Amino acid sequence: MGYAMIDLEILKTLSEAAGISSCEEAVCSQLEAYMQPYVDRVLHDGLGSVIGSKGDDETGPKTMLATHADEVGFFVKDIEESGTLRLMPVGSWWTHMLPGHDFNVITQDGQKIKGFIGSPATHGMPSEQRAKTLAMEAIYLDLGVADKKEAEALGIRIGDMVVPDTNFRVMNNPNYLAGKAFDNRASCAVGLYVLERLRGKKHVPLSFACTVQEEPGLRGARTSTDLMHPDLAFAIDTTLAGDTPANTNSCKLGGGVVISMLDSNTVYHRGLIRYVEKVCKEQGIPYQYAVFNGGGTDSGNIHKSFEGIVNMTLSIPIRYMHTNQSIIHKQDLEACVDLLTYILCAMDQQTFESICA
Amino acid sequence: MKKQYIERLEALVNAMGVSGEEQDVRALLKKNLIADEWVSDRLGSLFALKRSRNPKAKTLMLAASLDEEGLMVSEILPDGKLKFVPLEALSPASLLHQQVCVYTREHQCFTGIIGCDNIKFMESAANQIKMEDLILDMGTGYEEACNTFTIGDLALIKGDFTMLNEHCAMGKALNNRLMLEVMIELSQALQESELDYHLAMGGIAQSVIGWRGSKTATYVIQPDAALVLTGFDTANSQPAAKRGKGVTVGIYDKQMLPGKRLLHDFVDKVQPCQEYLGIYGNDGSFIHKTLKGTPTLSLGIAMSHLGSNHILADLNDAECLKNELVKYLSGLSSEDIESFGYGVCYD
Repeated sequence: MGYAMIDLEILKTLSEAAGISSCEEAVCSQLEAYMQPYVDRVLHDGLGSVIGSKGDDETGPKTMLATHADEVGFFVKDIEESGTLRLMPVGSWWTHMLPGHDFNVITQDGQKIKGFIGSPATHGMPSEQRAKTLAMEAIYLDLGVADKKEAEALGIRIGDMVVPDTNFRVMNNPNYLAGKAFDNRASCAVGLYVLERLRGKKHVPLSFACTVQEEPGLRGARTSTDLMHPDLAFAIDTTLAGDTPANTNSCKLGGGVVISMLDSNTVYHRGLIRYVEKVCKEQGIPYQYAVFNGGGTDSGNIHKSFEGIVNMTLSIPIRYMHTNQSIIHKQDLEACVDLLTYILCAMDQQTFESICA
Repeated sequence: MKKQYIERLEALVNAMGVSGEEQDVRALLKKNLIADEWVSDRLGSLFALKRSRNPKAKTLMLAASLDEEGLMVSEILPDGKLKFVPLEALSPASLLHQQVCVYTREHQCFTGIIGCDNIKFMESAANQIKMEDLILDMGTGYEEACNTFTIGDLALIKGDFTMLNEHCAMGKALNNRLMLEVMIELSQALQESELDYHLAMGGIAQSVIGWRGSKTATYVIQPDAALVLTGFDTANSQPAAKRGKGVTVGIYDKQMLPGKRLLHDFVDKVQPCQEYLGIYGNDGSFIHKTLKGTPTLSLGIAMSHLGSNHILADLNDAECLKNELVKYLSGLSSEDIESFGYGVCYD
């Protein structure tokens, strides 16, 4: 199977865009520009989520795809007299993964200021200290400046966002892609690829919501859902691959779209899961499973909205989530796009009611 | 309790109702509750609506949980055993060596046991046991397991209904299923009565897993006041809640403080009432704070060994609860319900 439809330029642009929770404006404008040619109208919720809607007059259940647009990162918490920056994490980070890595501060006027995260000197470090990871309070960004004045002269202010300085790249086997913020820009890209595939096809009334502020508490999912009031919804998100020496589970890169069974806030709709399994089998779409309740997805707030929304999360397996660089596989994106495109075209009221029954 | 009631309770207790797959319990409700109209949400909650002829009727919601704590299969191991995650906080101590029923995607049921291969129990202390050490032994090898089970299948923790003597019942999910039985008897007892308000009686899906269905059920019922039926844990309770003391009312829990006017009205009319203060919540948690806010009271009876698959309850308490509720609900008016809500306008 070739993966010709995966437009790497879109994925690269979205991956490299800076946008931690509440600072998604640039990412969301980019997403809006990408979705514009494919949708009938673009809406915004009050928190900044951008939602493309099409086929409002079509029959069948109102369906929403939700992909969060924010990424994990930091806020500048303090600028010390020495010119070093203290950081407030947004989303979960493990300090083990921080020292030595390049990060950018994004100033109010959009300037990228390079720096990297410093660490204690490793020479002569007592073995007890060597065996421990640093406390988050010990983490700081070194800008290579003499003092606070120089840092401020760069335009840096408390509250600016700090994101990994990581370029998107194609790995040695070109199906493997590396970059930052694939959680969850890879899924945003999936949404865009689906819109492209739907061009000229008949499908259910559809909204594609790029939600904000998922990482701190699924907040944009709540507000987007309120705006669109769908009957049926798929959150698309990344999930832990367990195919490395460091992690093992049943999910692997290249194994296909992941049918997630639950998350920390949701037991996905069992009827919908059965339907999706059936589609994958009949259409020959590669799929695998994840049963991971150690984290949440937008589904957590979607399914409890209004009278309850028939909802599940489809996932893209990812290595090294919530670090400065992760790896995903083209085939998994492709499988997710195939599955969603099929469902959106095949879904009708009768099928929906049989899922609900 | 009458023999046919006990048989129905047995069916309710033994029915599969792990969060997300409550259809068997829901079917029993649909068969037994008496309804002018059925109301459902899309997570699987079901309510029987008894309509009033009063054109200005308010709506009272009477709710209990449909679902039960269970497990989800997360992996098929090379030796044919199944790894699982618990749905909601369950103690590994209460799970070890219990029987389970794993339900396949086709709703076929297979019995197995929760085991632990890492520790020799004849040699080591039981307090070494951790959730991640537990596995499901279904008596199959790898291939047979792969042909039978699918990742994501749900398992209930068996605790078959048993009468210990003439009045004391034991079983899994008894804290919720006995309340559903009370509700069924109540709906039959009130069948011929004309109430001054609409009464929505039913079960809430995905309730014991974070009260998720409570939110969506409240949305479809839009109640003006709510009574939540539940079992109150006798363990380490202060003041001591005891079985055999009849009706118990919830005064405090971590998720909800009861509507004060509703609470006072209820305890003034229903005497004696055992008071209960504890941490663990109930469906009231999201009923009372969804939409514009709903005066809500939790009530039920005292039960023992909650958090296990062998809960004990006294059926005389359940009988007493039903009788008191028949009297209380028969005497209640829309005006009373409106007064609980401090005059909030819902239109």
